[in-house]
Amino acid sequence: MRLLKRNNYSSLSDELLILEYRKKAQSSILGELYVRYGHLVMGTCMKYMKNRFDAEDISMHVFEKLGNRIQTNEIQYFKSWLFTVTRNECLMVLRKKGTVHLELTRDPVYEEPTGEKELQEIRLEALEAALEELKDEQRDCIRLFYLERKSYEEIASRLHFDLNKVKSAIQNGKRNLKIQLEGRNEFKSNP
Amino acid sequence: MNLNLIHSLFGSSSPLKRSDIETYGRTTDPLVKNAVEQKAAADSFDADAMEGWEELGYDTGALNRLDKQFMPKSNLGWYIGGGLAVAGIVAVAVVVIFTWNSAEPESEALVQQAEVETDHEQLNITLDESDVVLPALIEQMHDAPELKQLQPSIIKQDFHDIEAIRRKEPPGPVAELPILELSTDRHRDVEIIRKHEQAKEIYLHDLKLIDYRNYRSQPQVKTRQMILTGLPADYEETGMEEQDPTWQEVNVPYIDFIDKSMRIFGQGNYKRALSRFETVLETYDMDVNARFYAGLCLYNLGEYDQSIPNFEACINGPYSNFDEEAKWMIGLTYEHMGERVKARKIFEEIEKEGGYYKDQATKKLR
Repeated sequence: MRLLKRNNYSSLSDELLILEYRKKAQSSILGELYVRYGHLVMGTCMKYMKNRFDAEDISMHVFEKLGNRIQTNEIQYFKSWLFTVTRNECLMVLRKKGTVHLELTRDPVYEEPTGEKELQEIRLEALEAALEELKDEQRDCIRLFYLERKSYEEIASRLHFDLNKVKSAIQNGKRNLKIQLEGRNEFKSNP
Repeated sequence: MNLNLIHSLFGSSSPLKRSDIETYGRTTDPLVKNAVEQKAAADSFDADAMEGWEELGYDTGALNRLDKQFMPKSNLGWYIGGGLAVAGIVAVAVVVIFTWNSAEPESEALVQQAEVETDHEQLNITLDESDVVLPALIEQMHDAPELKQLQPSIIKQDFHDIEAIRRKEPPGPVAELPILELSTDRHRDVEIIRKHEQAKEIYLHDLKLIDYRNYRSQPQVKTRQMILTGLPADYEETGMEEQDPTWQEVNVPYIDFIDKSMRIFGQGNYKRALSRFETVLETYDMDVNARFYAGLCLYNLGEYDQSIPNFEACINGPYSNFDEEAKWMIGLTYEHMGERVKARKIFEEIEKEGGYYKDQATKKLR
């Protein structure tokens, strides 16, 4: 049964893994972080570098330096911290090449999901009203994506938008909805 | 409007896993795609990563080198061992269900019927026409002598080296062409060709390809498939009728079709690969991927006369990604044909242009 036994770290939260690594500095802890985030690091590097080989090299570098960084950095939320580290590594390489064509469209801030209690406090009619305040394209994309569960491609095809426009309409629409609902004091426990 | 919307919009979402990326790349089910897209949309890191994986054709094989270095051995074992164990459990379960069902009384008929249908579904196998029958013209071709072939491993190495050289140079502009709807007409190019420029690339089975998903809307290949259903032997007496399998015209996502084609090409099965590239060209007759690899198949099948127009089409086509390789292949093809003057002219051009094949061209000219 040895093959079926996963390491003990798989059940620990990121925060506990970081604490554990600071105590023991075991490579298997870094391995567990790689299992959780290796594909996100590689994908993000690919997005910015547009080149598989550079993406692979930078991902390699991120995980090689990870242990040292965990020991020396203050980390509040590991996932968003790792996202920032990854993007910065990509930016450094792009700057060295003199080709910073990167558009930082999203801030790497931790997007804490709303708790169950706060979710229960959001009134459907308030959400409906907030949806109506959105731009048409954002509202249509949000409805199709979250209510009708249409894929990006289906939405793009139906609304005659390109895929990027669909993605940004959903992201922006979601953000604007949250702002609207906060303005209506719907996130009472999460000001 | 319901509460699910509130949860989907603002609630916590499970993190995007590697298996989600693989599933997203393989599935054509819009609901499954939406589920993964919702996960990715919940977090910037996941969203950026998904955009990166799109560039890689959602092929997580790109993590192989990283896995070797960072994946804990226990996890590698778990993935392999877990996979084997799951396969074993499924196999045992199938045997148990079949045995149990055959002993069930009539009162369980409906349950049994449902299970028959489920099992029946799981036994479906889809065959592409090229798996079974090849066009007569291709069927009669024969592999060229091995020494006269260009093995896929060589072309993979060339791609790798060319890419390594490119990495040292600042990247040039990448084509951003308007995405157009798929035409239902066959034998017709559906893209507007404005310039000869570098397109976005992906690697499948270590072979370079233009990623047409960036330049076509819902790229699909019209092909013929047969679904082999078959009934388990235990159900022969249940009165269910087995339908005769028939060929059906279907639209297969381009990326799935080309992925299988590249695997077949990489295995050195040039006749089958050629048949599939021909199928692509029936829908997109200026498809540079199909032109280039069809040219290579024909070269390895010793059909030099036919390979040259395919390589030339790559150079004259809308994208420049295969220019160097195609020109080199034209030179080699003329050489094999005994057309020394033409071969020499091509090698001289390559030498003058000073690209990746310059040194090899210089050797040829000595």
